[in-house]
Amino acid sequence: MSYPQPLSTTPILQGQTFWRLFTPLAGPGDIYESVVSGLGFAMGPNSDLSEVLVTYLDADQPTGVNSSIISPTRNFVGRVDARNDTTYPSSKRLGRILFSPNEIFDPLYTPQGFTGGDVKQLITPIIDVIQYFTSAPSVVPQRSDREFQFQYFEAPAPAASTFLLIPAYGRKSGFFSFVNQDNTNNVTVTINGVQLSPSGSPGVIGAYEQSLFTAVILNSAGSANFVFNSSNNTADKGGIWDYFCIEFGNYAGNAMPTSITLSDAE
Amino acid sequence: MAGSLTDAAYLSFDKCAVLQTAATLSTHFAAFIAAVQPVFSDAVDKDRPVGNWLVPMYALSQQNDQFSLDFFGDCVQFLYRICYAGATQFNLGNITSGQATALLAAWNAHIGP
Repeated sequence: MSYPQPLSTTPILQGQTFWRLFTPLAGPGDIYESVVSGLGFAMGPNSDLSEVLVTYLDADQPTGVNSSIISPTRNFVGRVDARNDTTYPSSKRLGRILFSPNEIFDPLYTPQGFTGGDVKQLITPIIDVIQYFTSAPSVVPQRSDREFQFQYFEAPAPAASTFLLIPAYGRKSGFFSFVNQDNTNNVTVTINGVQLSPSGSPGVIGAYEQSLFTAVILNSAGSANFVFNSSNNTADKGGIWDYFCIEFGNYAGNAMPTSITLSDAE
Repeated sequence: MAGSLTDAAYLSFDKCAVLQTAATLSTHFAAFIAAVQPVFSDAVDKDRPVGNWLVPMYALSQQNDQFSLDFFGDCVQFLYRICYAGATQFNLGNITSGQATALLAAWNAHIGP
C-alpha cells in the first residue's frame, strides 16, 4: 500500500540495519519520506523504476537543499541526516529525507492506435529503495529480473485489441513469449517501446511510441518468441524505454499464455 | 484554465512554455509555491505526500539559471507531479476537497490562467 507509507522508524525498533521502501506507486506524484538518518541509499532488487531522486537538507547549498539520483548502476554511499530538528529553508518543512521517482509515469497513457472498443491493461510500477543504517556496500548488484506471467486478458469489443503495458524503465534486455490457445481466432501480437511524457492531454501527445518487432499473427495453437536488446540498433529495435506496449489484435478473451522476462543485463 | 488537477498536470508543459517565452516562468512558479505553502501543513501526516513537493520546488525557484532549458523541464515535472499528487491523495481520501480545490486554484491563478 503506497499510503500511508511504510514507517522508516519501524526497522529501527526491530533492530534492522536497513529500511526498505517497497510499494507500487499510487501515482506519478508520489513522494515518500524518511525521518531516520542513513549511511547509504540504493535501489532495491525488485524496483521497476530505475531512477529515484533522494532529496535532503544540505546547509552547504545556497538553497539548503541537495539531491542525488540513485539507480541500479549507482548507489549513494555516505551519511545523510534526517534533520527533524530543523526545517528546509522557506518551505518550512522538517528536514526529512525525501524519495521520489525521477522517471515519468503516466497512468492515463493511451497507446498508439487505441480506439473505442479497445482495452488497456497497465501494470503499475513498483518503487523499491533501500536506506542503510550501517555502512552500505559500495557495489550494488543490478536489479533482479522482472518476470510477468499471464493466462488471460480482459477481452475487448469483437475484432478490437487488448493493450498490455508493462514497466520497462532502464531494462536492457527482454524475452517475450506468447501462445494463442484460441481455437477460432487468430491474434496479432505487436510489441512497441513507449517513452512517456508529462505533456499534453491524456493520450499519446508528447509521448513517443515505436514498433520494436514485426507484428506476428498467431493462429490457433500458434506461438512466438521475441528477444529484445537495448543495444540492438538494427532498424531501430533497441533503446531504453519507459514501458513496453503489447497489442493483442483481434483477441477474444481466450487463453493466451504470455511470459515476459525483463533484465538489467544485456 | 484547468478543470481538474489531472488536467492541470498534463497542461503544465504547454502553460510553462508560454510563461517561459514571456520570461515570467520563475515569477509565476514562485507565486504558485507561495500560494500552495499554507494549504498543506507539515505537521499533518496526510498533507505531506503533497506538501513535501514544496521542498524541491522551492529549491528550484531559488536557482540562478531561471531561463535555462533545465529549469523549464524541472518546473514542468514538479508541476506535473504535485498536481498528480493532489489528485491521487484526494482520491485516496487523504486530503480534503478544500485542499484539492485550493491547489487547483493556485495552479489556475499562477500557471494556467
